[in-house]
Formats: sequence, structure tokens, C-alpha cells
Amino acid sequence: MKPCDKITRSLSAGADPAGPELAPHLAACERCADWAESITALDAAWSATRPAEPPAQLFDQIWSRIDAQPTRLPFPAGPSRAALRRLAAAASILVGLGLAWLWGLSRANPRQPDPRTSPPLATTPAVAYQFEAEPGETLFLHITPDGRVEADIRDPATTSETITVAAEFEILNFMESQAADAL
Amino acid sequence: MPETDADVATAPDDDQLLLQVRRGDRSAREELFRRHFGVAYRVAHRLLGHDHDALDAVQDGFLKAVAHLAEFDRRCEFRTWLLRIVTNAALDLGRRRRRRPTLSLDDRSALDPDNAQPSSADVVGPPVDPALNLHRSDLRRQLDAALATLSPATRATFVLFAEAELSYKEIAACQRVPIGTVMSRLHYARLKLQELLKQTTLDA
Ligand SMILES: [Zn+2]
Repeated sequence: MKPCDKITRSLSAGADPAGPELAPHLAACERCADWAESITALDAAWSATRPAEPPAQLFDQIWSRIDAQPTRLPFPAGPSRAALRRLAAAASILVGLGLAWLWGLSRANPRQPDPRTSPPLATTPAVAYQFEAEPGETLFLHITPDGRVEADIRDPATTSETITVAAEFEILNFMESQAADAL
Repeated sequence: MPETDADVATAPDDDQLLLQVRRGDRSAREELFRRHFGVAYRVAHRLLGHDHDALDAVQDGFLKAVAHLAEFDRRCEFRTWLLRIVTNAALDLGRRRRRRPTLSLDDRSALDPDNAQPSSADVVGPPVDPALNLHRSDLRRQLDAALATLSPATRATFVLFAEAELSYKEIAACQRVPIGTVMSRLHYARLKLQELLKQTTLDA
């Protein structure tokens, strides 16, 4: 990535333009200085249009409904090891299904803007949510022999970064999605 | 949300409240959600552009979060976890309902002189110059329109960053996407929004 691209991206993600790493470059580079200026303008517009804080009685109103719901134990014991193994297998199969579905979707409807909005999501919530990708991004999933899932989301503007997701997390995520629609 | 020094000194933090919730303290649970209600509402409002829809999304999200509190795994801050759930609830609600034009009760009172009665959702604070208020609601509509051109994931990422002031690292940790992806989404969102803002300034 070119130095200016790196700088504009870090400014977009909240880097301080007056900080020691960026200030010298911004003083010398018109393009990056313009970008920093338009960030300031957007931030000012954003602050000026901030929604009003809701009054406290609105919280009381929704909380009285929520509090009336029957509740589960707040922190249950974790699942047994055997259950974890069974769910690991299920999660791997779901990953497979998710891939097949994404592939099928891209063949069937190449203009589909966002996989999360599609009805098939309900059948593969754990995977579809976990590896959410944007149009234009490329998603690679790799399941290692020890049950770990490696997700690599790439977009044209970035070098690739790989995250490795622990099998345990996949299991908990799977359980969560079974308990309710993807949170 | 601004906190006074006195609040910081006396109020238990989220982790302490979670411990109390674990012991079955219902008032701790209420406090845990109450303290994040304001930011959750603002995030939902940015995504839905409407007072009542925002409140519905917060209620949906809070209901889900309460039901799944046992599964909160502390991989990110409670606040981030909660806002992620509210964001998803808002996106779901947005899909189910067609987006209505941005209107908040304070806008309505500014636009319509017959509707000057203070309402429950009015801004708390000094009265605002009506011309300024009109300008603000125009600006908000333009920002909303630009946000609507973004994909749901990019929109949600930017709103969590700009409205809830979550860092890109927190967003990445909580959404389990690579940091580079979050940075790309923020950059792309800014490109779109800043482009529109520039255009608006040129047109004006
Ligand atoms: Zn530069």
C-alpha cells in the first residue's frame, strides 16, 4: 500500500492528525491534508445532527416490558466435552453449508448486495454472521484438521489479514444461533 | 454519555454490575442496561432515522441481550456486545419496515409552529434557533441518505465508530472480522459520506 493510502486509511479509522506520526506528513502532503480536512467536516456535521438523548422514562417504559419476561439463569455451567465434540462436527458441517450457499448465491444472483439480507441466512446463521463479507470482498474459509476455522476476508484496498477462530468459539456461536436468531 | 466525576467515583463499573447480576441482583441488571440506553438509542436512531423505530430496535435488542446475558463471553466490553446486538436488531427492523423519512419530535416542533408543545422525546436543554434546527434536519436527512447507500455491514460499522465512539479494534473484536476489514469499511463509508457532504456544500 502506498504511504498516502495508509495515512488516509488510518485517519479514517480515528488516528490523530496532530499526532507525531501524521502531522509532518500532513504539513507536506496536500492530498492527505485535504482528506484530514474533509474528515473534520464530516465529524462536525455528524455531531451537529446527533440524535437527542432519550428521556429516562422511555427506558422505564421498555424495561417494564423486558423485566416482565421470564428469565433464564444468568450464568449457566458450560457444555460437557462430549457435547462440545458433537457441536464441533455440526459447526464444521455448517461452515461447509455456508460456503456452498455463498457459492450458490454468487452463481444464482451475482448482484446480491449483502448475504445477510437473504432468506437462506436462517439456515446457516452461525457461519453467515461470523464471516460476514462485503460486496467486493473475497472470503476464504479453511477448516484445519484439528477443527479450527481460518477466515480470511480480503478486499481490493487491503493486504490480507487472517484471523483464526477457535473451535470452542464456533461451538458457542453455533449454540447461540440455535437458541435464537443470530444475535 | 458524559459522566460526572461523582458518577465515576461512586458507580460500579459494568464488570461489577455483571457480578451482581450473576448473584441474582435484578436492580444491578436494570442499571447495567439503563446506563447504555442513551447510546443504544442514538445508534439505532442513526440506522433507522426515526424515534419510534429506534426505540423498537432498542427494545428488541435489549430483550435479546437479557435473554442471552448468560452467553456474554467477555471477549469485548459489555457495552460493545450490547451495541452489536442493538445494531443487528436495528438492521433487522430496517429490513422489515421500509425506512421512513427522518423525523424526530424536536424537528417536528421546529417545522410546525402548531406543534410547539414539549413532548417526551424533546431535547433536554436550551431552546434551539428554528433556522438552525431546520438546517440540522436537512443535514441529517442528507447524511441518512448517504448512509442508506452503504451496505448494512459498512453502515453499522461506521455508526458504531462515529456515534458510539467504539474504536476500530473493539468493533473488530466484537464482530469477529479482521481489523483491516473494519478499517476498509470505515474508509469506504467516509469516502461516500464526505463526497456527499462536499457536493452539498458546492450545491449550496
Ligand atoms: Zn500523503
